[in-house]
Order: sequence, then structure tokens, then C-alpha cells
Amino acid sequence: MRIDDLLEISLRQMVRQGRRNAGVVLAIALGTAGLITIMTMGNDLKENFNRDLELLGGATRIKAQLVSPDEDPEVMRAGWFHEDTVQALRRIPGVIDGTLVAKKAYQAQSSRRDRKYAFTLIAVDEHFWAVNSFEARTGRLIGPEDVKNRRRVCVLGADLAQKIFGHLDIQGQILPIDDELYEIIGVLGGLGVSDRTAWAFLPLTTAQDRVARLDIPGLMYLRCRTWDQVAEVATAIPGVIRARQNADGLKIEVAWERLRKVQRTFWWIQFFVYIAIGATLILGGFGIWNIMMVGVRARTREIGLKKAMGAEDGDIFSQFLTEALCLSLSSTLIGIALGRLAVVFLSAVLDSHPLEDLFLACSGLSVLFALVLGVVAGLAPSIQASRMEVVSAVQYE
Amino acid sequence: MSDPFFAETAGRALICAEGLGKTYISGPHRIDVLRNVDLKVYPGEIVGVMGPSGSGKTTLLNILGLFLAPSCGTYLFGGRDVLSLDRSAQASFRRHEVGFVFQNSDLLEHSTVHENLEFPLIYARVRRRERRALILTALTLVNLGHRIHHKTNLLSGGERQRVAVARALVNRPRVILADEPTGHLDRVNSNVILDYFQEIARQASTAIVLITHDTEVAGFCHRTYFLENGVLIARKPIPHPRREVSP
Repeated sequence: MRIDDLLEISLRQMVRQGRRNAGVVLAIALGTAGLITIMTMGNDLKENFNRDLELLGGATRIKAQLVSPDEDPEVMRAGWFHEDTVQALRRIPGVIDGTLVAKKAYQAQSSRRDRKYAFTLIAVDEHFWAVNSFEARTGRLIGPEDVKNRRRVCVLGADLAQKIFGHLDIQGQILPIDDELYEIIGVLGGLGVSDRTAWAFLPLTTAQDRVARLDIPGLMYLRCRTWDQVAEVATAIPGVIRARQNADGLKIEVAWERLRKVQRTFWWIQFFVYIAIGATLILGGFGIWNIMMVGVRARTREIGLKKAMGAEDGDIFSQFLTEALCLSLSSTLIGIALGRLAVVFLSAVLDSHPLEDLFLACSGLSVLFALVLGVVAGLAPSIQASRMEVVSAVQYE
Repeated sequence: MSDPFFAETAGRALICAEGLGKTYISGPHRIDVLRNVDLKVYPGEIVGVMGPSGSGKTTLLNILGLFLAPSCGTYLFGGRDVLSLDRSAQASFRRHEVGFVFQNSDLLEHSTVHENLEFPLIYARVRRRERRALILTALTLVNLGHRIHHKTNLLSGGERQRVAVARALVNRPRVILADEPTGHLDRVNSNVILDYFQEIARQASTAIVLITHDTEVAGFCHRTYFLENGVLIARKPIPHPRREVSP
């Protein structure tokens, strides 16, 4: 039988059996759409989790520190991260951002209305907030212009602001810190702030100019794109640093236990999602098999007639197999279209840009899967149909 | 054979079956459905096979169409031994040499008349552009050219049987095997179908083997056989006012 005849006959049969096939088509289409969406958007979902959910508890944050002789007697002198090293660390594949931090060795002092306050003072760059998922509770946080222009501005933790001013609406207020005056631009918020609510933050450049006893900037936090990259990035850091500067006293800290828990939890979530999708697709496959088996029985007389008209076993076999393939392929094509819609929708909601190649690869895989599904589900019924004896098929009631 | 017509045309037989038998064994029982059947059918000839139910008429037709293998005997079609053909060659034989008409017309339901007639051409690997002309020719012969795109389930019983005849003809076979083709039709429609058979036999020299219970239908045949207990007995032609002259 010619291939165009085969396709035309099979498609016509599929359309005429539309109602009977609807459930199976829907199951396979939804399964395929789910698979494509998860596979295409999976990485973006992880990134979104990573960016928005402090529930991860900083599992994707790596602390790289050049410890001082006070902390490690074997270290001759305290080191700091050079500018090119900082840039190189930010460029490590898998790193989305990195921040350089310096801490005042002793507590900073301030006073207001004859009352004195002591607190921890941290000097940060503009990347600090994104790396730690911090947000401004009121006002704004230290930005690139503040760092670049060495502005005399500061951000207070919420508890510290409450303690000094009695309220949080304090933007524009002037606060003396260690005898220097700073304009308060905002109050720190965010889920993972914890003890930082009692701290004050200055631009790194400003603090380097004006704060006495400020540690040299030997502490960096790097935020990884997803938890899958943490181990790779942690391994790469020493090499990147050593290629540019002395790395004596380098200490890398990763919350391994927390990371493992996050990875395990997400693995199980993914596992169950894939199991659900797989089950849907397998059920779809069984649906095709069932439709074809029932079809062979219901169409026994038709098979006999076609053989009486001169159809060979191969003609009957290829017709039933092509019908099964048309069913699985058309279901998958609908699934790909639905998956595309889902990816476009989720991309807009999550503000992400999944790779087009990834979508195409997933679609290609789905088509391949549909071919396998169609062949596996349609093989036995097709063989059964092709082996029917003409006389018994024609006389079948 | 004592039939003078049979003897005269013996050398040109399209179907030449000798000693055909079909036996079914069911446990200790042996059922001889056909016994030592000799049959010759010539191009352009209409041969009727009559007999009571269970006498083996359909079995004989199934053997002639290679649906069923006989237990013994020889079967030559156009001088070729067709019993030795493999499954693929048997299908090819049915595709090119034989057209079937069944009692219930047996059209493919929910398909159009065109689709029903197209299947034999598809299996015969006839090119798409040639099919329509062949289908129209066959339908015109049974006066159904105007019904080409109608759904078969919307046709009357007589029209359905005419479509079945057209489908049997579309590949221009050398023989049509018809199993009680008028069994479900009234007299008027039966006569229409039988007239078509006579027309086909005369115009295209197509042989027709026709199974029937009806002596009036048998009256349309050039020769008639009677099957009783699996034995084929030749009968004199039954007189009928509309019967055509022998080929």
C-alpha cells in the first residue's frame, strides 16, 4: 500500500472514531504538555525558588573568606579580595551574583537624644542585597551610585531603627555613627534577615574612607543559580582566586547539610511529578492498545472484506499500526502545542526566558516517545489483525 | 461432463476444478462438506450453484476465492495451479482476478461509495489519478454514478448491493464470485442486479459464479449446478424469458 493512501486511510479512521479516541488523546496530550513544561521550565523554576524562597535558608550561598591571623595562627597576614578576583568569582559558571563585605572589628557607636547605642556595622556593596535576598522594608537599600560616589548614607536593621527612633519611617533622618553623620535611606526587611535586624549597613567605599578599625574586605558571598551548581562553584573558587592572588587563609563555607536536604526534597518532588506524567503517558499507551484491540475485534468483518478485496497481511498490519501511530502522534502534537502555551504563560509569570533549543529538544523527544508508544501499543493488535483468516473474518458476526 | 456446451468449450475454461473435497474433522466425527466436485467455468459465463442450506455452496465459493484450502483436488485458474500459491500470491490473485459480492452487500460502514470502491484499487497499487475514472466507470455500469460521494449507510438495500457489484467490478476481474447477491432484495431489485450481471458477462467476458436458493435467479444463469450433501450435480438450464443467449 502506498504511504499517502496509508496515511489518508488512517487519519480518516482516527477522525471518524473521534469520540472513542478523545479520552486517550487528552491523556497523552496532557502528559506530553506536562513533560515539556517541566523539562523546559524546570531550571527556571529552580532559579525562581532560589531567588524568591528564603525557605532554602541560604543553601545556594557560598562564603569565601580570607581569614586573618587572629582566626588562624598559620596565616601570616590578613588577605583581601582584589578587584579582578571579585569580578572573576562573579563570572564562574553557575554564579548569579557575588558581594564583597567588610565588618567593623568592634561595635559602632551612635547616640540620639542623649542616649547611646552600640551595634554591628557592616560595609557592603550594591550586590549584597540580591545575594542574600534582602529587601527594603521602608525606603531603599544601598545602590551602585551610593557605592560609586562614596555617599554618606546608611541602612538600618528594623530592630535597630525601632530601638533608636521608635518607628521605621526614618528615611532622610541623620544618624551619627562613630562621630560621622550619615543619612538614613531605608530599613532592611526580608525573610532571612535574622540577627541582621540589629545591624547597620554602609556603602563599602564610604566605610573604607571613614570608618576606623574596619576589616579589610576579605569576605565574599557568592550566590549560585540553583543548588545543582553549588558543589561545582565551591570546587572552582580556590583555583579562580589562586590564579589572581595569594589565597593564604582561604576558607570556603557551604551549608552542605541544608543543601542536601533541599536537593533531596526537590528530587522527590520532581520524581513524583515525573511518575505522575509517566503514568499518564503509560495509561495513554494502554488506551491506544485497548482502542486498537477493541477495534480489531469490532472491525473483524472489515478486515475480512479488505482481505477479500486483495489486501495482503502487510497492508492490514501497516494500516492498524499507522492508525496507532497517528493516534499517539496527533495526541503528542496537541500536547506540544499545549506545552508551548504553558511555557509561554509560565515564562511571563516567572519572568524567565527558557532556552528555545530546550523546548525544541523536548518536543523532539516527545515525538520520538510518541513513535515508540504508537509502535509498542499498536504492534500486537496490528499483528492480530494481519493474521486473521479471510474466511473466518468475513463470516464474523 | 455430458453437457454439450461444456464439452465444446472445455479447452477455454477459466476455472477448472477437479476432485475438490473439503472435510472437517471434529473429534471422532468426520464431516465431508464437499465431495469430488468437478467444475469448469468459462469466460463470459454465468454459472449458478443451488442447494439447500449446509450443502457446501459457500464452502465451494470460499475455495474458488482462495479463502479456504480444499482437503483434496486440483484447482486451475486460467491454466495456473492456484492452490499452491502462498498467502501473498493468494492476495494478489484476489486483487487482480476475482471480485466478490456477498449477501449483505458488506460495504464499509460510514464510508462513502467512492471510498468503498477505492480500496480494491489501493490494494492493487493503482495510481491515484487513474482511480476516479475506474470508479466512475464501475458505478456508471450499475447506474450509480451520481451517488459517488454518498455515505453507504444512507443508501437503500438495492443501491447498496449495486455498489457491492460495482466494487467487485472495479478492478476488472476475470471472475465474480457472488454469494446469494439478491438474497435480501425484493424481486425488482433482484432483477436489476441480475441484469447487471448479464451485462457484465456479455460486455467484459467476465465469468460469474453465483450461489442462490432461488430458481428464478438460477433462470438467469447459463448453466446451473445443484449441490447436495457435498456432491455437485449438473442441471439443464432452467428456462427463463429474460435469459441471455449462451456465450
